[in-house]
Order: sequence, then structure tokens, then C-alpha cells
Amino acid sequence: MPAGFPDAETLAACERFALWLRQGGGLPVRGRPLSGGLSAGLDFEGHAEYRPGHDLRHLDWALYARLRTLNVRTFEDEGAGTLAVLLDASASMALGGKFELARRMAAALVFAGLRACHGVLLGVARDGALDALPLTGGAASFDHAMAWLARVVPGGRTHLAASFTAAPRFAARGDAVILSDLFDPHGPEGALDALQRAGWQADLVRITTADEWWAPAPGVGLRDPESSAAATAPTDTGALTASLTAWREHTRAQALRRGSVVVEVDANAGLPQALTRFFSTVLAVRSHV
Amino acid sequence: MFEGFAWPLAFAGLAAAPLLLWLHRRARPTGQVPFTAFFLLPSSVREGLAGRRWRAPFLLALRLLAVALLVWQAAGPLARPPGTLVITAGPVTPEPGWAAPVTYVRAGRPASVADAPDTLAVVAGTPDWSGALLLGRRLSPEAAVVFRPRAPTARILGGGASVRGAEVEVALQAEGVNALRLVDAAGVEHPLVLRDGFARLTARLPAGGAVVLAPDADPFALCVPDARPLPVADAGWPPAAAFDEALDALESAGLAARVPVERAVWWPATGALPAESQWARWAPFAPDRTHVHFPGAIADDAQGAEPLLPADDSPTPGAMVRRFTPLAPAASPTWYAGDAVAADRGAGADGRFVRFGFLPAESDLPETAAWPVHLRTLVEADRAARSGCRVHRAGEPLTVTASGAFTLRPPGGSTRAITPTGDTATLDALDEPGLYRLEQGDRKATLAVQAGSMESAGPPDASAWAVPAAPPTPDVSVTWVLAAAVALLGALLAGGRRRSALAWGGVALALGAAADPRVGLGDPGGVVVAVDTSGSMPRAETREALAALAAALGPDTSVTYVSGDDAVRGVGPSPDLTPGGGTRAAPILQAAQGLADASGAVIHVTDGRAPDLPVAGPRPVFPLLVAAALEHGDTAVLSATATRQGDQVYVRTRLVSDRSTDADVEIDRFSTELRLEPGLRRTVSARIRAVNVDTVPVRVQAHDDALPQNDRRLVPIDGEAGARLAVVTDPATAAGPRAWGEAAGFAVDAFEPAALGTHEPRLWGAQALAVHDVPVDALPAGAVDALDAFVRRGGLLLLTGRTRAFGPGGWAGQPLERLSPLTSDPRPPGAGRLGLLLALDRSGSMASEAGGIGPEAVGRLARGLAAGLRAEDDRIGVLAFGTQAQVMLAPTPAGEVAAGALPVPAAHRGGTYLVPALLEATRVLQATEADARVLVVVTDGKFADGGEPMPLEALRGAGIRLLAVLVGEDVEPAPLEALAEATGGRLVIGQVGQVLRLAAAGVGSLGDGGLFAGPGAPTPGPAWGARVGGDAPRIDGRVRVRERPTARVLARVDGEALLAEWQVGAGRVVALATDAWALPAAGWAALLAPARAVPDGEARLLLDGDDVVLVTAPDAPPPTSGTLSAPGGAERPLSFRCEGPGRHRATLPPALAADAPPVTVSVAVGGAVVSRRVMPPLPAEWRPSPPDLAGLGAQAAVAGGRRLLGPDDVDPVLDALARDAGRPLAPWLLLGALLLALLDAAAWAGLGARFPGLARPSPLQAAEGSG
Repeated sequence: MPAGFPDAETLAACERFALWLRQGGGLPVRGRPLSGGLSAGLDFEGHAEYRPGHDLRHLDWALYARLRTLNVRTFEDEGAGTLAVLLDASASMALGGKFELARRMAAALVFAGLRACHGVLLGVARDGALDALPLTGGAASFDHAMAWLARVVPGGRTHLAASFTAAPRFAARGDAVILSDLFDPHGPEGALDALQRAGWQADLVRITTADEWWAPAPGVGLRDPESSAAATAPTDTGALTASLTAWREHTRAQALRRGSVVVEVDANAGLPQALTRFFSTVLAVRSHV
Repeated sequence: MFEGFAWPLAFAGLAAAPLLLWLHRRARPTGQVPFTAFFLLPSSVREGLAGRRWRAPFLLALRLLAVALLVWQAAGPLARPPGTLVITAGPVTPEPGWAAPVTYVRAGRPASVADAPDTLAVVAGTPDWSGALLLGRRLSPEAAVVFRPRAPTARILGGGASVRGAEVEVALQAEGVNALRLVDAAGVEHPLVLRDGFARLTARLPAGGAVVLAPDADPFALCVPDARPLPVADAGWPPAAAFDEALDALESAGLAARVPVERAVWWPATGALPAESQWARWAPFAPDRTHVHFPGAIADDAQGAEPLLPADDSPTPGAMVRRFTPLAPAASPTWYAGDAVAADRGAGADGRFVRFGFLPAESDLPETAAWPVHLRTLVEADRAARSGCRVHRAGEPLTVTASGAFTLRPPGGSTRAITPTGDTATLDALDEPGLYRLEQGDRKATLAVQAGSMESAGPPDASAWAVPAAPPTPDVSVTWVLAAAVALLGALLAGGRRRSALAWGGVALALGAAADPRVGLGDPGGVVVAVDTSGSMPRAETREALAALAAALGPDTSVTYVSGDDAVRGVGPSPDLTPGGGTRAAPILQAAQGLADASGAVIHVTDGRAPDLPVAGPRPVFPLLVAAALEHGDTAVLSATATRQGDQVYVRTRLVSDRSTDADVEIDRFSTELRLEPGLRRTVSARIRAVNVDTVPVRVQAHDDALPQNDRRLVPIDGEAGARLAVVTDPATAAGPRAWGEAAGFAVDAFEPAALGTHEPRLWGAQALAVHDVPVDALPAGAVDALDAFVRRGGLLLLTGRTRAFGPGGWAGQPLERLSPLTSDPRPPGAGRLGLLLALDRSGSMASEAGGIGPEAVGRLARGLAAGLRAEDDRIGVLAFGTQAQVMLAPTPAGEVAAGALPVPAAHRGGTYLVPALLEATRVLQATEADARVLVVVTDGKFADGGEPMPLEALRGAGIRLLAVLVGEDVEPAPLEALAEATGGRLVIGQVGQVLRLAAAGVGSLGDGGLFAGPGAPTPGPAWGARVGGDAPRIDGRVRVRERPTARVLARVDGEALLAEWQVGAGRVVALATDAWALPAAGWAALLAPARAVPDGEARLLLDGDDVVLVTAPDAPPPTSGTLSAPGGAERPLSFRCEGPGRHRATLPPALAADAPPVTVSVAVGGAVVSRRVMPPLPAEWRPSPPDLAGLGAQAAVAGGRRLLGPDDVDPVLDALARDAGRPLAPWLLLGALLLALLDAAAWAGLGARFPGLARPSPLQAAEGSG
């Protein structure tokens, strides 16, 4: 596991916010979480191909004997929901410490989800693809998830809609949290729609820096961090700033239209602040709803 | 000229160039601010819409340059221009027409490469053009070949030194030289003056190496023998008077000096001999002593009664050894006794040794002239060896015996340290003329390397050589690699990659390649198979062995074949088994060593007959003996001689075999079967009848003979012409000696005795001269002196006859008798003392004016009669009678009366009264102390008292025999005839000359039992077998003679000498006291054989191995060029090279076919032509010798291999292949640098971030991997 992640502050934040969430009513995940233990009243739903992270107790050995492939039995659980933590790992996230904050927030969310005995799906999106890691409860799963996260290096282009569309359908449905700067030329609407079609209710955490919402000085050489394209900053900074503002509002409007919450987080803020902002906003919205 | 690339696949690396272009096209722009909302920019300002541009063009150029350089060098450019390959045998001057680069290869043994043309040392002897071309071709395969043989106009052709008294005489032969100077071992220069191309110098020179210098000529090295007398131990020698006499003679001649044993160089020893393996080698640091071994006691199994035969071409001594112990194993034989070695000599690490298998007293050799000659030869050889110098033929390796490391300093080179393997070391690269110094501690030795053959083979046809080039060793230029590294470094800095481990790694690899471009990957070397293709190699077995060898080595082993015999004939991936000629291992082994490079090994496929093993070299050599050489033995005709004697040819051949086998021997139509044993030479002699032929075929056949080429020889018949016998006798008695001479194979000319007083060239030019039944009074004046001179200069004189020779011929006491080993007086010393009284008639009728013989003739007659007496025993008195009897000389010991002082009556007058004279004579003789009394009455028989009674009883009573000598024209025999008959005397009537002889004979016969003896059976003496041989037939009669004390009696009859001989000067006198002896032709031939030997001082041709040596008197004029004539009339010149005073050597070309006819060697010396028909020598590989396993073992030991047990036994070879070289590592380092540079460029371009898979595994893959 690379040094530096998860750092002590992140781990401490995980514990603290998990406790805080339990005291405050838990994660805003559909199908209220149970207080420990396995959920009762499981209804058999079908089979799914075994992937690392699946509970080995659900392996269907009879099916293995017949097909020689590992499959797990899936159950429809009305009591427990699944939390998907989807991380934007495009090249633009590498700027300004955005990805580091997003990764630490993802760690805290995963920890809280696992502690609340939710199924957790951890995903990394870039270049129109999604790498996903399904997780079940237990400390070992968390450690596994952290190691997986530690190896992620931001790069590539942002195309969340393609990433989530191309993602496999997951057996469990639940809530999703997208950690991204949302500088996606295709906008967030495609991504949210894709998740909804897959049965996910997604909330957005937009992690940006303040500089990103201001137009650069005229004449400054600019380059696209996600491509080799370059340009010179236009002299009409007002128009560009307006475009940035319009884009910000556009994305917020599209999310709200689909029932998603957009939490604005400054990349330069600390992890506790960011988590506090996220949970307070989401819980407020959920309670309001 | 650009030649290509060693590894063209490296050009695949050029694919990096478009990759770089793509990277620079795709790279992030640098120096610009990342703008996350780039997509929100107006499309008008986004460059991407207007097309992309190359990022960092300067950096791109640097990277492209680095890639190009790295790829170029990794591909291994073989940019070797063809240039010029100069193969030379000495220093050369570069010529403008030689295209650069010029590679200079010295055609030495072994060939070598030189940097500067003027540093090339002269190659003495035959240059190895083939080996040099092979080496040069590998270095410069496309170069134009230029051969530069040396043909100096000035050169020293030969020379040598020998001892002359206390000085040393040096003889030199040169051409194109005006002045020579000799630098002796002390560094003193001695000028020499040339005359007709030859120079001589006689001076006191220090022993050791000397060098002769001349302007524009190569130096010539020679060894100067030690002229000081050889210190010979003064005690401890076996008791033999002849031995002491020979040493005395050597001492008186200044050749030896008797010293105490502890200071002696020559000393009697019974210590152990050096190891047999050392005998054939030079021991340069051996102690300066010669151990002379005599047997302490003759062993019980001693052999005996064998004739002694010399091991070389010197004349047979004609001596027998009665008992001897065969020397086995033998070093260098000097004498054979029958088939066994009876004496030898050699050297080892402890010094030299001379061995005799017999005591001198057990042989009659010391009684012959060969004994002092042999001792002198041994002493002379040791005087030469004592100088610590050895002459060596250039280009040949030399194996020496040494107990520890030593140094070798060539004439112009640096000192080489030599460490022997075991106790032997092989010195190679001895191909530069001059003195090589060897040093081991305090001991020093000198090697005088002289040019080899004067006739060198020309350079080979270079165009016919397809020599494989050396493995590609591309010129990984440090300059270009450094340029690539600098370009990489520039790219690193210009690209802002100061912290890039990839970039620094690339630079490090490039610099590593530049640091040592030759560092290899350790590929194993290849195997070079040196195949002996000489004439002796069995073809089928060789093919089988090579096929098995190739199969055992396997397809993965690189195999190159070098084929050749005495030169390299072919090089390539398959062997060239074209049958060849002679064997020399050095050319193919040295070529194979060169092909083996630094990591290969050499397999030497041979039949073990090369004479020049071992050959030094850097790579291991594994000899492989073809099976046939071991499985099949070889039986051969070692040597053969044939001598014609009339229509009879006597053939003697020596046979040898390397195994025990039964063999059939055929000599012309004669055949026999005998058993041959390894290491022993068997001699087979035969007499055949052959007319009108000049050669005799000799053949030996054995079952399953490996080498039939040496089984059959055509032997030239000697004595076909040239040997002549001059018979001096009365024409009536010439038939006998003529028959003897013709039976012995001589051309016979008969002369009357008077011819001895002439200068008849056919008489005095004959090799043998027989004086047969010639009375002494028939000899003209000066004849005896001429005969004496004839013998002393080497002729053979046969003194023979019966009725008119020896005593009956009046030889007794005459000068002629002094030449004879048999005296004419048969009486032994101290027995049969004779009292002789000459009664000389002094009457008037004896006066010359009265028709008598006169006082002068009487005096001569008296002196002649007195000369036959023994000085110490006999008495002589003179009585003159006429009218009265008068005692002129009372009986006096003969030795006290000078012949010229014998009183005789000066005048004749008056009558003659016989009776008083007889009475007076009776009285005088009665008073004389003698065992026999003879009264010689010299008269004409005309007595006044002839009718009166004679005092017969008085004479009888006194024991007096009367010898009546009647001289004159009108003699009256009575009454003396009756008196002579009555007293047992004789009556002699005739002219003075006849009377003198007859009277002298009468005196001797009257003294003791008579001069003549009847038939008898001769008894052979000890030397009969060696000198004559065969049975001794009976004689019909003889004249009684007596041997002189120093004569060697070959046969006796009834205890009295019949045949004897002795040495007089350089010649020999044989005396035979009969004319009625039916000796077989072989006997006559053997008896007269010494006449065929050329006397010392006269030019003669000797055979010495493959050489023919012309031996002349030291001060004889030098020879002109010789001629070698084949029977068909073809002639070729034969160069004789001076190798010392009176010695000139020429090497005979070997016969490359069986049944090669004899050739004739002719050379003109001093106006005369010396010729000899000889069998051409066998090629070395046809020599009847078993495979030289010791030599092969030495070869393996010297080069670091071992003898292979068979073609399958290749594991040692494969194990010996070194891995310290092989394919260079540099190209791989360069390709590595290229790869790292590419990765760095990719990282610079951000490709790692954009394609994480290139730099890091994807998160999902990592997760799956960990699960």
C-alpha cells in the first residue's frame, strides 16, 4: 500500500464521522440500516458471477458443481441498502488537490457504509470507463478498498455518462455519491440518468478550487489537462467568467431536476469540513424530503 | 568501403523515431497553465481545432539524434575499408599505391601482425605464407593482397666453426657481400675477407655464440666450439692399452688434457642415466660434464661375436665385438653390433653421456683406425657442446629440458619468460636469424638460429583462398557512443527530466557501452578441427573419424576445419581431404590457434607422424589419433645398401616394425621370412646375381600394414663404376689378381713392375694397388716411396704372391718390406740364429774385364744377402778367396755391420782355389755362435782345384749348408752343385738381379725349415667375420712369413700368418702370403672394400638424415653448386650450404611416391666431380615409426589439452571452450539505453498518466491480482 493513504487523519475522520452518523440517524441510504448483524427476511433474487468482495457464504456450490463457474446467490433485501461511492479520476481532478480530497472523502463514506452494514460499491470513472470494487462488511473489506484506492492515479478524460453507462449492472440498488469536479463537457445529466436507469439515486459532491471559477488573465497560455490541446486565454474574461458561472448553474439545475443534491466543496478545505458539509447538506435535504 | 552491420536487427530500434514523433505530437504542452474548463473556451481560441504542432522541437531533434546514434552503434557497423594486406618476410617500405588501411602480416612461424612496417623482423628460413595469408584474410577479408618475399642481393648463405688445434676456424659462404665481420661471444669484432664467396678465419675465439654481420645482409649466427683441450679424467678408465693410446693421441693433438677426475669434463661414470624422455631434447642448462659409461661387468645374457657397424655413413671399422650388453633403450646410437645398439650418446638435465655396451678389451675395435677416430669424434662433439651453444633451424619449434623457469631473449625482441611444463618447454617463434640468449640463474646458453631451407616455396595463390572472416567484432566507436550519450544527456536536461531515473539510466547504459565496447556476453568459443591430410593419413578412417567427431560435437557447436600437410591447404566449414605430401604439425596447428580466437579449442586429427611436435599456442589442443594409426602397425624398409662385385650384388637392408609381426622380405628374387620386434632393427643381407641393372628392389611385407608406401625401396647399386684395382706383376702372373679384383667388383688394370717408376695416372689413380709376385730387384728406383705415398694418402695396397714375393722375392730387409704387415723372414725373434759367411771369389775371372760381374756387383750382391739377416741375432762374416783365402770380416752381429760398410774385395786377380777357402770357412763358421750356419759362395765356378777332393765331411761336421751362387756368363756348376746338394744347400745360377733374389731366398730357407709351405686350411682370426666373412677355403701353398707385432692377422695356417693388414697413414696395407687361394668373390670384395672408402681429405658425399653432406679437407676449395639428377635425365640444382670448414650440406627433396628411383647427387670440388647415387629420403610421415604418442601427449600438455580417446570423447573439448568473450555486450547496452530513452520520452509526454497501464497496473487488475 503506498505510503500516505489512508493517512491517520483520514482514518480518524472515518471513525469520527461513522460515530456521528450513527448518533445522527445513520447514512442517508435507502432501506434504513440495521444496527449490526445480518438482515432478516432475505428473499432469493437470483445468481451473479462471483467477484472479489462477494460474501463467500453466498457461493452456490451446487451450481459450481454443475457449471464449474463460481456464482453467488443474490437476495432482495428490503432492510439494507447499497451505497455506491463513485470517484472521478480524470486528469482534471489531479489539479489543486481535488483528487486527494475526493479519495479521502470516499474512504470515509466507504467506512461509514461498511460500519452500517451496507453493501458498498466503490468505483473509479475516467475516459468513459468505470472500474468498480464491490464490498461487503468487515475490516478486511475496508483495508482492501483502501489499498485499491491508494493505487489510483488520476488521468484521462472526463466522461461520466459513458462511464456509468458502461458500468455493469449491480444486483443491489441504493444510493450513490459522485465525487467529481463535474468539469465534464457532456454535463452531469447523462451520468445521473444512467445511474437512475440502473436503480441508483445519486448525489453529487462537486470538489473544485475557487480559481477554477474565474477566467484566466488574457493572453495566458492555457492547456487542457485532459488532452494535448492548448490555447491562449481570451481577452474577454467577462464572457468566460459568465460561461463558467452558467456552467455551474447548469449542472446544479440538471441535478436538482433529477432529485440529486449537489454539495459544493472547496478542494482546499479540510476533510472534516468537507464531510460535515456533505452530510449536513444531504441529511438536511433528505429529512426535508 | 562500408561493409555492413554485425546485427542488422538492431535497426528495428529505428521504430523509436516515429514513436518519438508521436510522443512529441501528443505531449502536454509545457509552460502553460492548466485550465480545467478548457472545453468552455470559445472554439475560436482552441488550438486543437487548427491542428496540433510538434512539442519541443529541439528536444525532439536531440532525442532523434540520440536514437539514431544508439541504433547505428547497436547495429555494429562494419565499416572496414578493404585496404591492403601486405604479407612480408621482413621489413618493407610502404608504397604509394597501397590503399589504406594497410595491414602488415609477418609470415613467420607463427604469423604475426605488425603495427609499423619497419619493425618487422626478418623471417629466416621458409616463410609461412599460408598461415600469414590466413591471419591477414581474417583481419582484412576484402583487402588487396601484396606478398613481399625477401630476395636480398646480399646474404650470408652458411657457415660454421670447428676447432683447429688451439684455435677455431670459421668458414663462411656469402653472396653479394664484400666484407664480413664476426662478432664473437666477448663482443670483439674480427674482419673476414671474402674470396670467391667464401671466407675463412682462424683465430682464438671465445666459445659460445657468435654472429656474422655484413652490410645489407641478414645477420648470421653460429656457434664457436671450445678450443681448449677437453679435460679428461686421468684415472678410472677400463684397462686397455688402446684406450690409453687413443687418449694420449688426443692429448698430444691438443684435443684433450688428462686432469684429476674432480676437474674432468669427460669422466668415467656408472651413475644413472637421465630419463629416456629427455634424450631427444636439448638441455641448455645441464652441467658441463660428460659421463662416459662402460659396463662394470658383462651380463650373463650378453651377446657376442658380432661385427661392429657404424650408425652413420662412416666406413665400417671392420671390427668385431666379442661380448657386449645391448643398449636398450638407446639414445643416439653410434655403433651397432649386429642389430643391437652397442654404443650410444645423448644428453639430459644432468649432463651429457656416452655409453659403451662393451669393454675395449672385449673388442678388436681399439686395434683399428676407427677407434681413435671415434674417440676423437666424441671428444670433438663435446668440445662443441661445451660451448653452451646450439645451432637451430629457423622456424622450427624447439623442445628443451629445463628444471625451472628461464628467460629467452630473441635477437631484437624483449625477454620472454618461459615456464616449463613438467621438465620440458617448447620454444616457438624462433624464426628470426641471430642469437637467442637463454638464462636460468647463473647458467646461460645460446641458440644460434640460422636460416632454414634456401629453397622456399613461393606465396600461395591468394585469390584461391576463401578464408572465413573473423567473427564480426563491430567497431563500436567510443566517439559515436559518447555522442549518443551526450545527446541523451542534452535531452534529459532540455526536457526538464533531471529527476528521471529512466533518463539517467539510459545515459549510464550508453556510457557503459562506451567504456568497454569489447565486453562480451560470454558466448562459448568455437571448435577448430586441424586435419592432417598428409600422404600417410588413412583416408577412409579419417573421414569416419571426422564424421563421428562432427556428430559428437553437435549442431550447436561452431566447427571450422583447417586442412593441410606441411602447409595449410584449406580452411572452411568442411574438411578438404585432398591427399597431400609431407607432414608438419606447426602450419595447421598455428592456423587453427588463430582461428580459435580467444575462446575456442583445437582438435588435431592426425596419425601422429608429424616430426615437429609439440607446437606451442594459446588455446588448448586436443590430439585425436585416427584409429588406423593405432590398430594397424607399420613395417618398413629403414635403409638399404647394395654393392656390386662383378656380377654379384651384395645387399644389406635394415628393417623395422612398430609391433611384433612376421614379415616377408624380398630382395630382388631372394626372399625370406623373419620376425620383427618393435624398437629393434633387423638386418637382412643377401647376395644376388644381377647384371645390367643399377638398382635392386627391396620389399618387406606384413599383414595389415598401415603404411605400404614405405615397404618398398629401390636401392642404388654402389661400385658400378669408379673403383679400380691396379695389378703390378709380371704379365704371366696377372691372371690371378685380375680375377680377384673383378670378383670384388673392381675394374682391373695390369701393369708391369716398371710402371711403378712412372707417373702412370691409371696406376696411381686406382683405389687399390696389388703388388703381386714382384721380386724386389724388379722394382724400379723410387717405386717403394711412391707406394708408400699411395698408401699414406688413403690407398689400399695389396702385397701378395708366393714364389717371387716376400722372402723368395727378396723383400727381406728391403724398403718394400717396411710397408708390409708380414715380414719376409719366417723366423720368430730369438729363434734360429744364423751364421752367414760370404765367400767371395776374387779371382781374375770375376773381373768385369774378364767377363765376370766385377767387384761392384759382388758388393751389391753381398749387401743384398746381408740385408735379409736379423740384426739382433744373426752373424755375418766375409771371406775373400782366390789364390788364398782371406777373412775380410770375422762373423759379426748383423746389426753392427752397416750394409754399406760390408767389406768386399775391390780387385780381382789370379787363380781360384776352392778347397782352402772351404776349409777356412769351415773354421770360421765353427767358431761362430749360431744355430744354423750357411756358407754362401759367390763365384763363377772356375776353380784351379776343381778336380781335387772337396772337404765335404768337414762341412757336414760343422753343420754348414752351402749356398752356391754362380754368377757370370760362363759358369761351371761343378763341384759346388754336388757340395750344395750334399750339405742340404742350394745352387743358384743366374744374372746378378736374379741371383740376388734367389740367393736371399736361399739364405732364409736355409736358415730354418724353408720358405715355402704346402697346402693347408686357414684358421680365421677374430676379425675375420667383420673384415672378410664367410668360410675360409683351403690354400694350395704359401710362402712362409711372419706377422709384425702391430699387424692384425685375419687368417693363419698352421699357426703362421697368412693374411694380415695394418694401417699406414690414411691407407691400409693388406698382405697375403699365397697366390693360390680360391676365396669367394664376397671375401675378395670385403677384403678390398676399404679401397672404396674415400680417404680422409678427399671430398666425399655422406648421408645425414634427409641431407647429403659434402666433406672436404678444411682448406679445400669450396664446391660449386650441386646437381640432382633423376634417372630420366631431369636435373635440378642442389644448393650446398657451408656449415663449417670442409662441410657443406644440401637437403634432398623427399620422394613422394613409393618405388622412387635413386637420384644422383653431383658436385664439383676443386676441378673434380664427386657423385653419389642415393635413395631419395622418405617423407617424414612415411618414416617407419609408430604414432608419436609421447609427442601428442607433449602437445596436449604444452597447449593445455589432452589426447582424445576417440571421436566421441569431446566433452573435454566442450568444457575447454571459454566463455570470456563471445558476442559483445555493447549493442545490448545501447539498445537498453534506447529503450530507457523512449520510456523517458513517454513519461515526459505524460503517456504514463494517460495510459496508466504502461506505467502502473490498472486498479482493477491490481485488485484482481491481490484477490
